[in-house]
Amino acid sequence: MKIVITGKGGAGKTTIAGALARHLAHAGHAVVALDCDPNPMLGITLGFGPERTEAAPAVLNMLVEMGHTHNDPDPDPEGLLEQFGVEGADGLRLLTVGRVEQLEGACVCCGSHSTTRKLFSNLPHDGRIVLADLEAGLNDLIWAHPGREDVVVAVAEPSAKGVEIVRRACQLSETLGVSRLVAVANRASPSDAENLSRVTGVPAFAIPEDPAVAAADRDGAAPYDTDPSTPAVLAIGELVGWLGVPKRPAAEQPLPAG
Amino acid sequence: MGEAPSAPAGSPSSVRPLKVAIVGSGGVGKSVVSATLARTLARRGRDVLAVDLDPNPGLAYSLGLAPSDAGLPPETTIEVKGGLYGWGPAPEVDLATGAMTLSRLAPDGVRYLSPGKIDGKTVNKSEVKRCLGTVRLLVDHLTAPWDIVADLEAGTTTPYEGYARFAEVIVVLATGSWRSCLAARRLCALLPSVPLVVVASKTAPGASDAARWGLPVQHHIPFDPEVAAAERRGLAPLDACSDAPALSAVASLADLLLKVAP
Repeated sequence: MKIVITGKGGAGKTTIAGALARHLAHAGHAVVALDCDPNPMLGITLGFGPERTEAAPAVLNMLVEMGHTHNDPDPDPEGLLEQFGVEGADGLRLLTVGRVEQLEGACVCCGSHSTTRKLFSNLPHDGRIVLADLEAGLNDLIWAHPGREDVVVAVAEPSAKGVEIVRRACQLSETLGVSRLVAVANRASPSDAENLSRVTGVPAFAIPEDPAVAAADRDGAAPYDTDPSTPAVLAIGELVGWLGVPKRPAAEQPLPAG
Repeated sequence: MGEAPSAPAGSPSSVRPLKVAIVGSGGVGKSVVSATLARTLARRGRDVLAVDLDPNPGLAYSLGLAPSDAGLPPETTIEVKGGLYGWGPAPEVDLATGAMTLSRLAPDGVRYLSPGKIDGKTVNKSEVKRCLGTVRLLVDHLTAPWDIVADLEAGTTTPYEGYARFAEVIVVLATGSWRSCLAARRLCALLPSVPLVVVASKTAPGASDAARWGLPVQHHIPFDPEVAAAERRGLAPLDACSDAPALSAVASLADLLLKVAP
């Protein structure tokens, strides 16, 4: 299955994507975390640490270095994952789409957006979960172009702007035919989530304000590592139940005790 | 679109206009700082154009202007081969003044120019592209002695794509979060060589987080619960809580920018 995380800048997309990927990988799923922000930061909240996050190769930059442009015929996405994916906790893999500071020769009309479109559309997702953390705002949601089989998680902090962008993200996703949509009220109360659900017309989930997450964010650490039992990280674990994640194949389930 | 402004009155011609872009990662306070800065300058009698360079809704709320998704009227733009996104101003639009005449009136006499918004109803972005290329050209070519305060989209993409090219000084915002400081460092590395003013935003009393991450912080804007409450309600902080400490900090940022700008 494929999941996209979208929303206004600063709403908490990357924090949620990172902890969500860790929960899923810990539960035994094969997870590919796709960092679609050309200002990539997902490695931090996945627990790779600042140095490894900065060192992670970015697909578009590597392709440009090898003499390709974004308009070249699609390179094999699985091959790109093999080549440029970085392995983290519980076997999850991080694939960074582009890094704008070093982008040279890429088309300025789309930056890394068309690479996002190609990777999100074409990465095989049978038996694995592809989780894409998008760039802030609605533009990248249109580029990623999630479809009928995909899940969209739209994140808002409780501000008028954040709620309005999530309302639009939900509307766009419905237009694209997405059938499973979850709105998330982040750093918010259950009544904020009720309001978000009323405005968007889709189910909304609340993740509480959490000083432990704020502290991890200050230090460039992954909340899942600094305290996996802090309320916001636990809530992100509960969010998994809202996404329709398939059960793992029986063969991979741990054997019952005794 | 509002009525066209009359001649740029107010600013004596000896006043050098301030041309500033506001950048930073998501949620650092770009729109609040942009809107408050624009209105603060206007209250001092300057002619100010607030330019919204983000196709997501935001700046209008912080200005206290009824949000609208409208971009430029169709007759003001034409397809231009090789133009930015394939569009540019129609021949009837004066390149030197178009940014003013196509703007609409916002509180305190600020003029607001927007390329329109991704409205959520259609997945087609051609409308925003049509307006964005034209707005950028008009801002680059505005010759009237107006201040320009432009609010850029979150992150590094649009600064990389030259959206801040018009600016003579750029404000880079970061909060105490490690990631926003990393974004600020990346921005400082890719922005054009004009004076950069790094501002620590939403700071706790006595905190020096942004400085801790190696950023040359020149100004602080404190975290302000009154501003947060205004944001929750979608109100302009200057209308909801005009005495809030964060807003005085933006006023002193205006002084700093006028000093730093060439």
